Amino acid sequence: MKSPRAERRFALLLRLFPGGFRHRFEDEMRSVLGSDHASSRDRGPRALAAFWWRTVIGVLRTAPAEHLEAAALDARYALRRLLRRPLFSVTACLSLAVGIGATTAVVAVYKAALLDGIPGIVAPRRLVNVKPIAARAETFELVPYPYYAALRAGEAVLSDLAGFHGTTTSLGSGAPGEAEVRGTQVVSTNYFRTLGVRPRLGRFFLEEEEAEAIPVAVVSDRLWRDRLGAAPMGSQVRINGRTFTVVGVAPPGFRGHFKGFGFDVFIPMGMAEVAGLPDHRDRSHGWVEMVGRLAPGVGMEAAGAALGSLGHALADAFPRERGNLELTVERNRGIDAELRSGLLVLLVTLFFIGAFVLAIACLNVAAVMLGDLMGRRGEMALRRSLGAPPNRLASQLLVESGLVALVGGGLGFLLATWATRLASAALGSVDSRVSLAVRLDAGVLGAVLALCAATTIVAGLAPALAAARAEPVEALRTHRRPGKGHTRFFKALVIGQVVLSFVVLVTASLFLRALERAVTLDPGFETAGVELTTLEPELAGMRADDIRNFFAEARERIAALPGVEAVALTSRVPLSLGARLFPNPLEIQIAGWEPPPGQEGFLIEHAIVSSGYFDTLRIPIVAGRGFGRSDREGAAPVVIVDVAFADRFFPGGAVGRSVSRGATAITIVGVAAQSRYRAIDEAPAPFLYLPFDQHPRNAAVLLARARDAGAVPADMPGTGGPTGMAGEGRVGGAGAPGRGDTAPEARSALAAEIRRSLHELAPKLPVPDVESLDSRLAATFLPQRVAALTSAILGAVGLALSGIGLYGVLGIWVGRRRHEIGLRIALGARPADVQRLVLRQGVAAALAGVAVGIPLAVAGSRLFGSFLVGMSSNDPWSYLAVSALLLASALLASLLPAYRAARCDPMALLKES
Amino acid sequence: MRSRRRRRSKPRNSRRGDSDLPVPTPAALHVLLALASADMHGWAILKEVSASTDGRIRLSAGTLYGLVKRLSDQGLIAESEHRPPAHWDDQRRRYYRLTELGRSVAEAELGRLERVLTVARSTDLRPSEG
Repeated sequence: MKSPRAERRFALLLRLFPGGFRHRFEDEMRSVLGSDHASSRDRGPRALAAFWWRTVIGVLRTAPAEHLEAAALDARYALRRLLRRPLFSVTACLSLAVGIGATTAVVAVYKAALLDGIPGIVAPRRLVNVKPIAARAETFELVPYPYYAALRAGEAVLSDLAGFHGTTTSLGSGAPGEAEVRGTQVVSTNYFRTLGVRPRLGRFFLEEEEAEAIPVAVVSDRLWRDRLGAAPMGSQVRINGRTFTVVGVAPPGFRGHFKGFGFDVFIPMGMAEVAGLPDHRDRSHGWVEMVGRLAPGVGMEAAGAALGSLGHALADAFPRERGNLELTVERNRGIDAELRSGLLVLLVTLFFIGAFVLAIACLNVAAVMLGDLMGRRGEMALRRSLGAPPNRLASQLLVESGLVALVGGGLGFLLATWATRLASAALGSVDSRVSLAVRLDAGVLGAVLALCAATTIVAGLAPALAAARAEPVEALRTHRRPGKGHTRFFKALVIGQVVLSFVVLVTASLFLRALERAVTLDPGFETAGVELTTLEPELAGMRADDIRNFFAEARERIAALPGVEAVALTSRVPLSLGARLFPNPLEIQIAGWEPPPGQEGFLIEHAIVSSGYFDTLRIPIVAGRGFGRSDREGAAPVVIVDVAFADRFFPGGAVGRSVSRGATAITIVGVAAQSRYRAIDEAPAPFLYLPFDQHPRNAAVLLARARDAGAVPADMPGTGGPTGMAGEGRVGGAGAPGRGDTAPEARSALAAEIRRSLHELAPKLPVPDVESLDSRLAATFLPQRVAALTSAILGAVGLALSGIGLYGVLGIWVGRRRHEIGLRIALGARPADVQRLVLRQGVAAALAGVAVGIPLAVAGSRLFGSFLVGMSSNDPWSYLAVSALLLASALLASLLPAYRAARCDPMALLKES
Repeated sequence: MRSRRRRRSKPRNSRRGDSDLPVPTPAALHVLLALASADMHGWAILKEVSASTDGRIRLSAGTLYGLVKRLSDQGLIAESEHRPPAHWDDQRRRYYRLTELGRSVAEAELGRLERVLTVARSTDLRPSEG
């Protein structure tokens, strides 16, 4: 007697076998299981239990082996089929590799920059940045040391509050030319404890090292191994000319608590003076940034409220900085917030482009497999009618697409490795202190495998479904000609490719045009022919008066070089990354103008520049005068404004009028022509230039304009010349060819001359990098360049793939309608008519793709609109050009099928049918 | 052409130096022995193996059909065309018979076992019950 419950259990158990096996033996096995079950039941409960035990174990032992065998068989079969079609296999693998590689690289960078924790830091989610709501201050997020100390002593919501200041120091043994610049953190002694970092070797700082000046340093693992040769603890290094004892090494990978910048040297706040920072007791200068760890059980909001009110109460003791001491608390994400949001836009855009190209490649593989399947309908139908189960055929196709995906994924992983290495190197080339360690770890490998799986399914599903659906009898009857449904489906795949290609190409075109725009937009000053270098005399241990003399002498020496036309010092380089990322407004009052509500004055961006600045950058002075030697400390305060400022506040003429900063009146002595300062596409904005000699600084950028080509004296020594300076080989790399009219050789020679002069002037100073303003500005557009380059490459791949796809579908279309075409020719159609028929098909597919692609591209480009400098994301030229390109590619892809169709021999066809 | 290639890949399953025949596992040998006397369906094979080994070997359906698949893929057994009269027959059942190859394989294996036994008898080892 049959037991329905047992039958259900048998069915469940049998499901564990692969489809082919079930198809062959399921009925029989049910019959055997039924008989065995009945006979065991008759012999009593022990026999019944033994039966179930035996059955379950038997299935569990046999089923996996059967699966493995079926998979191996499928894989062998798929491999044989792929080897038989090398062109398809290579195209498929390579195109999938490009798609998987691009998306994987983006995932890896995303993971490294925004997801991964920093090695060594414990529970990073409990870390918070404590900072002033610094919208209206020059001082950015910095607070005076005594304020930090009072806050640290008074707060009760954090388990620790650390202070730090990121800067650079020169590191070396004192020999000339040997010093190098290293990112340096000046930290409170509880810095490492707050982060939960444990030393790899030695110790971190002691309490007394914050209160007293004790020259001890902790170094990064990288510096310790590469530069110090893994020296024992207690060995000595020179930092800014002072001897320090190395007491500890940070754990591998730890280079400060936020990503993007790497710090190799850590010194206690007791030694802050060495880094040129104000004294401990100074209440009027902010230089400390704060990071804290939430105490157990304290949430963000409670901490924000408690620190806010404590900060407010403490602020009264700091009259000059008071406005800057309203505190806020934000979660520490391990990366600068602005950098994070910019990076996110770039990465999301690139991810979508990569994913689109992957989708195009998948559709391409699917289309080719489907096309191939149509060609094999006879074979498939025969196998179906001989009893091959439908899932068997489907699973074979899935294995085939899986194999292609796996090879593509492997190649893609290699591609991603290469691309991320390139990205890291590109970042490093912007600034040696900028660093991002991108690792391809298990997580990224997981992403690759997930992409492979997705690819397998997307590429293999359509053909598999088609194979499973095929009715053997119907298929046998019509196997010469693919069914209409199949062809329509196939066409949809090809149009899908055109749509995706359109979106990728429009994105690429927008990026390229935006980049071209950004590079050619007139910034209002002449970038070509200007060399620049950052001077930080503090690094050589100089103090106030020495620094002033150094700057004056540096200007004189460089100006005296034969190849130099003009020299100037400035606090900031216009359009540089720093100018873009960090606003630097000055608060001023203007008589007769009411400041915006809640403010005591107008916030106007400014730069501190020396005389010669306007000549060096060739910014015309349209009224009044530029700065001169008379505008020095002690003389009447003066300012030069730009045209936007003059037009807004003094439409009747600005020269001779004055603005004030607190009690100090500042006279406007000149109006400079409008130029861009923070971004190449910004609207003309009011801007102030203050004279360098009235606002002395500890660091400045030296700009030197080279004489035009031909004006450089022939006897000027070149890079390989007899100057014999250490480290000279580095110059060649810095002098990137610009758009300028000055020959590259002359420029790198000038760079070498500048380096030599500065080195002679201050031998203790690390040999500065001299680079051209052009290359500095090029680095500013690095994200745009990366986006443009990546999307252009991927766009080209997409274009090629959709062309191949279209070629395939037309080939099949022609094959399907051979009889009709033959008939037309027999009835007198000319070859041109037949060709037109085929071409029309190709163009129709491309037009359909473009029509669907336009709204998609418009929606997509909203995403990265902020990235497009100086242009709208709806740039009609991009859309027109890409449409034309796709149409041309469609025509090209249709040519061969059209030619073949026109050469149909009607007689042969008639005989065949 | 293809069949020659397949044959060349066979010796992986065979004893070197004896013959090109595959070596059956003990369970597979029992299936071959069961089919040596008569054509049988699955359930009958299961019962026969159990009876001839005094219940020491009880194959499960999963194990049995794993063996049936392998043995028929190797050509040692095949589906039998002889079926019992319709009123006896269960349509779900398939009957299996020993092929010539299967017979040779079983005989070769029995011969091998016998030679092993001959050698064993000359030692002081005696078969244990179990």
